[in-house]
Amino acid sequence: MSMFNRTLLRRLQTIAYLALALLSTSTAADAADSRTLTDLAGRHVEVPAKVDRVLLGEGRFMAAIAILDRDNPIERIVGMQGDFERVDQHGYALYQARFPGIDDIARVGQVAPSSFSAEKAIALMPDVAFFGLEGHGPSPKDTAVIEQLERAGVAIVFVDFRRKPLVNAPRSIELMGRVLGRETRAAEYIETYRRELARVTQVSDRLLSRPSVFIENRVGLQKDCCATMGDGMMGSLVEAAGGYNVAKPLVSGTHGMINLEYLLRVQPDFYIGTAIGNAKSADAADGRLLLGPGIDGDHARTSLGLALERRGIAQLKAIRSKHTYGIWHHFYDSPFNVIAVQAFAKWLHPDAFTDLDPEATLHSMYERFQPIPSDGTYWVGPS
Amino acid sequence: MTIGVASTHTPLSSQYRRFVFRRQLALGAFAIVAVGCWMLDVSLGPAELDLATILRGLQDRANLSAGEAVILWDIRLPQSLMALLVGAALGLAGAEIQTALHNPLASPFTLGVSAAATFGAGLAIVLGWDFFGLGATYAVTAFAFVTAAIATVLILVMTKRFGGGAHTVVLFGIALLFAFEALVWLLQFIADSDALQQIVFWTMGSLGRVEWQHVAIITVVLLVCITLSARQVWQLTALCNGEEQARSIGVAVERVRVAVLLRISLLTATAIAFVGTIGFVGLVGPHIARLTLGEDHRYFLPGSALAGAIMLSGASTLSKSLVPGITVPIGIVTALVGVPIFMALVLGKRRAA
Repeated sequence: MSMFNRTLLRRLQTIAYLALALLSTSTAADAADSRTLTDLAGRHVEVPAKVDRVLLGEGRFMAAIAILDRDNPIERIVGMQGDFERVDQHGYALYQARFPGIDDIARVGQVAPSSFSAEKAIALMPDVAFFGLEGHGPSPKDTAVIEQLERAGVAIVFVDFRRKPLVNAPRSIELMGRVLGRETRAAEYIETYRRELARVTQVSDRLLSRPSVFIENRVGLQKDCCATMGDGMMGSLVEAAGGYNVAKPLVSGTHGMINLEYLLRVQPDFYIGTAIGNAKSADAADGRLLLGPGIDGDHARTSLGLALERRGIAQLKAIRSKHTYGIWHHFYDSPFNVIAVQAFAKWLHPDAFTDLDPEATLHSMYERFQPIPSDGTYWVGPS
Repeated sequence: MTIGVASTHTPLSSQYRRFVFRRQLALGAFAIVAVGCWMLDVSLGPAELDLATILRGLQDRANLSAGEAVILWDIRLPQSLMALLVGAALGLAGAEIQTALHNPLASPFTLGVSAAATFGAGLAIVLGWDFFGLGATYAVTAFAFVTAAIATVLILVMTKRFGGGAHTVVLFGIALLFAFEALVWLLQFIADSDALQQIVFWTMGSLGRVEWQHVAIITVVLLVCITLSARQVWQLTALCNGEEQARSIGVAVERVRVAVLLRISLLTATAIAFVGTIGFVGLVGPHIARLTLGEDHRYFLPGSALAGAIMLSGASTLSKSLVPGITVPIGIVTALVGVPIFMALVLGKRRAA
């Protein structure tokens, strides 16, 4: 297919999505001042037609907002939880460089969900609050907080990028697009997202072999072994890429711990560590994997080498078979998780995905849907 | 010179009148401080409502915007009242248990009753049981009470064997504390990440989830327990001089103990179910009351309740004003501020003695 045709096809698809979006909101358009939407917790929420003031129950939802309000993602944000600048310092710095006003957005808490202040949130008078099904802000179980905000006239919309990342990331963007009146942008993203995901799943669904994978969560954060991810988060991404997550039957919920001895007995085919070390807190000595914006390949490889020298991990057979990788941690909670799926697919089944180029997907998706650059190293393999 | 001696002696009745009057005055002062703390607590918060707005809003909810009304009526008022009530409940529970076991180290926390209640609350969350359709609030409270009661029954059995004053009982309580804490950790270990967040809340202590319904429940519990304590006030006072003394003047020591332990289970469980573990108040509230009011339980019990209320209400106020814009978890503030005050009181008393 020629380049021109592909563009035309994409345009047509966009128009089709737009038509669909218009059809689905036409019933709500009758009530001009508000619409009823169904959020990802299955709640029916009445959302005002015009949304100017938005509260983020998780700071890292900023990446999702930026897909929709690309020119000025901070314009409508009146308050946010304080996790973004604390857990993804360099990602935050990129936004800070481009939109200095991000520092002036009121914080309604720090990293823990219990630090969320309902009083502060209400005082900011948001029209809408985006909360996650789980994570660093209020969840659907925080009924007291939800009731208080709703009584104050705040529409609460639950989204999700962690529990069922591949199913819910596009659904969340679609929902946020409708809330913010950015259906077209949402449709463009979803079309790209589904196409890039399908390039993996069309093949991986038919693969007969599923190599076993151990995901080490936040390498270097805690000295005891082994923090991992279960059903959801990176676990879902590994499974979509045609791998088998060894921790899935052992961990209840999205993340937890498994026993090192068990890991050494199971001897997974692949080791994938998630990297929370970044250029802002670059200190390879503390045992963190270094990846993300502003990190070059050499530093990333060195940090992976050091991480694999730890007692217990060093005894994994995956090291001898050169099946050891690191991935940027924040893909687990991101609308761009499909990029990690492509990277995993190439590692787990190199022969089946020769034409896949995750690097190119990263750059093109960031270029189209993010206001920040995509330079840096987001994954690393064995040296 | 015996003539002058008689004139310097005041009759016993007026000495007693002075004794009563001084204590009533002190209790009145406690109450005024508690109300002052509560007012300060209501007036502070990240939303920075000015005093005029608050007063307008207290007269009529309709005078405020929807947001301001929720902040004042659904967040600050229930939370600030809860601080007073939980403080009072823990102070009262601590005072009664110290008397019943004749042991100044006894408190709902040091005897493991708090940890037991926390375990019950956590169990209710992990099992997701909704208490015959009554809802999670009641399930958590009921579970917390049952486990707290189990812990107190165990303590009671030990007291029967070794007597209340023995260190054995407090040591046993501390063993219980560790056992139940381990069970809470076990719950955290098997809980999924979602339930884990809920349990962590219980181990930290926070007023952040308080609703009017909770305020109503703890008010009823507190009133019932105060009424029941009032009926045993003289027996408790008699117990201060030790078990044998009390028995010799006809106090049914065992019955008083059972009643006290049931009451403290109920008070502790209710407090924990709504605000989590706040340990220090039950131990220190009674000591502050004892140092200022003595051991006549007509004054010592309400004094302990008021001292607890002041401690927690003051801690709530401080938790909002220590770091601007951030609410420090109240359990942390209670301990960090309470310890120096408590030490100053104890050391001051030592020097005076």
